[in-house]
Amino acid sequence: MRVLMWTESFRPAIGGVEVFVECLARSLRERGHDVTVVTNHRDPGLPDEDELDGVPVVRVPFYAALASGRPEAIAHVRHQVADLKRRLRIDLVHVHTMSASVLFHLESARAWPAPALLTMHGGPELPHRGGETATLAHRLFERAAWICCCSRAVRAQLVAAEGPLARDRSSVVYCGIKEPAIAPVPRPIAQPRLLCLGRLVDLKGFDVALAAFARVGARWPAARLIVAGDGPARRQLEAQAVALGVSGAVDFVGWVEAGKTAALINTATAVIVPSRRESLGLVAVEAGLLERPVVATSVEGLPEAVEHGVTGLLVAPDDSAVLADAIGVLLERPDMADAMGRAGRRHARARFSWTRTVDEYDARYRQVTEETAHDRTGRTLAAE
Amino acid sequence: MIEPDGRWQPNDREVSSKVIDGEAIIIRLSDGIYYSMDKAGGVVWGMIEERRSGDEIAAAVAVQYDVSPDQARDDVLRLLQELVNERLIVAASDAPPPIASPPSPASGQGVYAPPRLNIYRDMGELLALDPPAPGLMDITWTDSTNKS
Repeated sequence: MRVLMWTESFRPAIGGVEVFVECLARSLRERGHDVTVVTNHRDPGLPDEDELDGVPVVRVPFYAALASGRPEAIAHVRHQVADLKRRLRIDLVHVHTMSASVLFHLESARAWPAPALLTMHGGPELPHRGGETATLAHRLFERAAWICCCSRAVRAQLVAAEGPLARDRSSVVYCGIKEPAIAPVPRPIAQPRLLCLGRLVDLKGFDVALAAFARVGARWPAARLIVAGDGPARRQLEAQAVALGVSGAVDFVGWVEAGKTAALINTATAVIVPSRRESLGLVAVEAGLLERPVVATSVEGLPEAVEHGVTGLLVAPDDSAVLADAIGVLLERPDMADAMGRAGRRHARARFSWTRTVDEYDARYRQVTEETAHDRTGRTLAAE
Repeated sequence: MIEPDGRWQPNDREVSSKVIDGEAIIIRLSDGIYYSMDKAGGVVWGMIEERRSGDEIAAAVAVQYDVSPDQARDDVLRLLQELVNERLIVAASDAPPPIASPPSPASGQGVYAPPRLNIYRDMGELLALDPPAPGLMDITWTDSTNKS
């Protein structure tokens, strides 16, 4: 099957969606699907067409065209997309996340009609518009043959926003995660290492983790907090660590390549996920695979990734005192924390198996294209 | 209320627009709302660019499509009202340019469907979520009118 995998952001950008799309594209290619990734052309230094570890990538200047406000520019990109679909003889477009670039998929549908499967990864992609239907988001939901949501929480948000339109044509397909090549090692106990991993943006709540760590450090002076990731909030977080008097115990290690996060998690005593919003929280899942207990906030999809009292502890967001207390419980009771880690591995393997994710998408691709072919045949016969 | 003999033009102070390959692409620049119209809608916008009246536009639609003049008139006036409501058109300020060539009947535009304004009100909001990288704005765009 010839699949166009549509994502607004892709390598070299790093993020949960980027990594997921790349892994899914590669796994589906291994199963015989001819997958091409199309993404926004962000960097003039990168070629229009590329191949990254065997995955063809086409970069199209979606945002530049839209932001120019010039109809000619928009028409030009729309032609590019239509030509691409025609050239590759696309059977299915798999759209990841709702984004402005989706306009070009919708507006090239007449030139090359192919069914669309939409995956909702959550985040700020569901602006609530009070029932407004004259939107790109609504049009995409209306036209999508099926909508896969990365968690039950995201599906609930979608159904709340779009009603029956989404309820009757959507399902949860968890964003699985490949098991790390390395095995879990014993957690450091005497010198606790707490790990925060992700983009350094306000939504991740790492400022709350820093404030909690200041409380934890008072009781466990040998503890360290490792903040892995980068982003616009980094300078502010570094300044906060200084202001809290904990900068000597906090390591800002910057971006960690996707293939190296497992090794970093394996050095941690516990993984902290203090997010204000989180559609699922794959960091918590990866922590489970490496038998690390997790302290996370009980927002959106995180309770699906972390079972409270079983694989970790869930706390309210934006409360550094309760976060510190929960971290303290794990540090005080290493046997319990070890058991949570082991339970986390079982939970991650059962619910977030990568093979299962690929199986589910593979099956959904076939279902959508078969139904579309059936519809076309039906229409053709009716017309005759 | 749209007067059938009133002439219209794009609201150039707020709108960037063009008919390309028979489809009108319209952007309300103040808030980034994106609009499009194809088929008969593209014909209507092309006539608005020529500062035509509702009656003239309806006549052109009726010539190019298999639709009765009354139906075309009703549909065009309804669409003009919607375009006014969206601040996409304003009353024309001066006389229309001469018609270069009258629309030819049976010009192969296909089956008639009432012109429809596609509206994407969330486009500005979605764009604000992820602004383009610096440097991309300098891309020189070419007109794709000649492409299929």
